[in-house]
Amino acid sequence: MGHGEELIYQHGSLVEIIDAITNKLLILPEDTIVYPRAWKIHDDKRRKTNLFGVKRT
Amino acid sequence: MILKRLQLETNLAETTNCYIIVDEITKETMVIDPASHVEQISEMLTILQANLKYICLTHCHGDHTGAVVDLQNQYAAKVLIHRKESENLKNPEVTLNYYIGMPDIRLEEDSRIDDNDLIHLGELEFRVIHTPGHTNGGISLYCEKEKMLFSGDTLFRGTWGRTDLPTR
Repeated sequence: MGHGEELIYQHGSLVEIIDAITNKLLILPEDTIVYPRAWKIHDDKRRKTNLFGVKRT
Repeated sequence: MILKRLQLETNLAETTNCYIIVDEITKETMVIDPASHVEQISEMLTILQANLKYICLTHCHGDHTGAVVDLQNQYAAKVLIHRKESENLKNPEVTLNYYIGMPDIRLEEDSRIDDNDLIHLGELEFRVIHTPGHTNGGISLYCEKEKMLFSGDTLFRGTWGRTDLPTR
């Protein structure tokens, strides 16, 4: 990077992660044992929507 | 296969799962995401009489890499990360080390891995699955023989990883 150039960052991508999960992970055999990052239910308040069927207020 | 899960604390509220996988015959071993507390990892490796071959990082974030340098200093193991994550690994704006409260360490991988690459530990074979979205070079590891998937931060229980963090 030359002097004065600015680093440009992008963010992660919801489209990409959903695409990867759908097209690469969900096609694995149904009896696959998944070792995810967290084993407890993860209800992330930073999300605009939650994934557990309860509408946020 | 021997599989051990260590729940390692970082400065974040949630622990990181560090996995130690050992081929029972050859003792060849891979550590996935050594987040912190190298002494805990080393103790387990000693108990397992492990021959540490690979340190595999599912992505570059500091809460998955805190013990990498110490492990490198103790063992002749190769650090693996996806090709697209290599640059991120050296960039504290992306590793989030400052945010996590970790030292500004610029890690260097030994080998870059790609989608569908195969990682071998004795007779065990792990296929690299490029799963971007949390970061550009995030991976999951799949062992067909044991029907196991290690998803890094692509999957949490019941949800997926954050997609609002910087990446390149």
